[in-house]
Amino acid sequence: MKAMLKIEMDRAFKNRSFYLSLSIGLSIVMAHIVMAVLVKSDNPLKFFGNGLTYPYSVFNSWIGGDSTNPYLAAYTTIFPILATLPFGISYLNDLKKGYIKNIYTRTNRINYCVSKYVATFVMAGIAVVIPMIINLLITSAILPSLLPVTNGIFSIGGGNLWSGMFYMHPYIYVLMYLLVYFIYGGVFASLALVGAFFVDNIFLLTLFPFITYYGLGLVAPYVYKYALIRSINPALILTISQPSGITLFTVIAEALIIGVPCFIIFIWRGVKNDTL
Amino acid sequence: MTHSKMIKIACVVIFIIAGIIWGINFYSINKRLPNAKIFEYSKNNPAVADGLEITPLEKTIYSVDEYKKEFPEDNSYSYLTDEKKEHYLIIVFKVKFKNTTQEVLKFEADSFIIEAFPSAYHNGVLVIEGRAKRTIEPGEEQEVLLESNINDIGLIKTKDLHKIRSNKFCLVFSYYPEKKMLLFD
Repeated sequence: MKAMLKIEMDRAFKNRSFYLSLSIGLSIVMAHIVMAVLVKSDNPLKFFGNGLTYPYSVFNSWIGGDSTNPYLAAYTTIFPILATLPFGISYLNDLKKGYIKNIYTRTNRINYCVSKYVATFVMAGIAVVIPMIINLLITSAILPSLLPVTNGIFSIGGGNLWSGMFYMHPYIYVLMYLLVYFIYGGVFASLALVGAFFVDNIFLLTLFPFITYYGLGLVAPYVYKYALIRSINPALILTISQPSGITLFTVIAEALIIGVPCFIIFIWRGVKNDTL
Repeated sequence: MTHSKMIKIACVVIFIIAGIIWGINFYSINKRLPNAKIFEYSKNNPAVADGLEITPLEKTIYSVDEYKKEFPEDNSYSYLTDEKKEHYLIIVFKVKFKNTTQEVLKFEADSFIIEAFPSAYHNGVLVIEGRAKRTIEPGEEQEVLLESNINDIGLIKTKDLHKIRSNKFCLVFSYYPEKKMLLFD
């Protein structure tokens, strides 16, 4: 299993699609730096008077903290594609190119399937988190890491998820949210693995997680009224400044409801699938 | 030395240089604009801002019905239905202002933002009786009642609503470079 996982991770890191995904993500976050952060860095005290005003801070200026910027909206819109590109379609490629036959003659099928799932999950997580970390690092190098305050220029309200953490330990809040990004990246990429059993076209398979992601967004308004659930729209869940009510229950449940069946179906169908 | 090894070494060198540049910038910007120093004022240690002494006297948290009984002339919450009342609490602060100068001062009695931790509840305040913009004569003292609502329809999590009484409440009147706040036990 360990050797197989190493081979799959090695293949994933050498995959050009991983770098394509990273390039797209990095283009968006760098555009945000140039258009929205650098202008603030000229004078972080621009709109600061005294009293209840406050200078620009990392936590309302980086891509995840700036609720009004279109760059995060672009990032969260193509999020499932960024997650799927690195390794999500590799299983279908392995099936089509016959690579899987070489593997199955040398190792246990379950080793291959579990390794494929883990590699896909991890690579998707890395691909969606790295651009966000780079944006945060650059922003934190040019704007002060001033603690968020409650005068309204930081969009997290007391009713938002992890709000206490945001105001007291904002870097931990950001790390927790990046963990959500990592998991959601992995979960949506794993949809593409399962989709390979039903879709034979690489283009359609790449879009499969995106369609699911978008579909959840369409259903979301109908369940918003339930206090335990609130928004199930993944694009809103992944908006770090939380413009819409989200609950920890939904964040965890949505990842489990998609991720666990995907894992089970992929392993079960992958082991049973007659490829030889 | 192989080509791939040279690339790896180049990557490590670039990574280290980028890390050093980031570290220097991070340090310098945060040294230039550090986090605010916190000043807490209490009943026995009042704040003084531009000659105006501000003393936090007391805070009380009411249900909507209790608030209506206590302040029958204020009908700010009369629109709430019985069902909605369950989601609301009203907090009232009593603050004393004293003019310590020899001149007439003007001030706004509602220039505060409530903060409560650990729930992270925050909201503005309104003056219950009279005007927010006030004039105060030399040596004069004025007690002002300020109110705000706490609700779990956006301002606070439902689980925190009835635990809010154990929170640490303060009224912030300056955020930077010094965070100044009136503390209410």
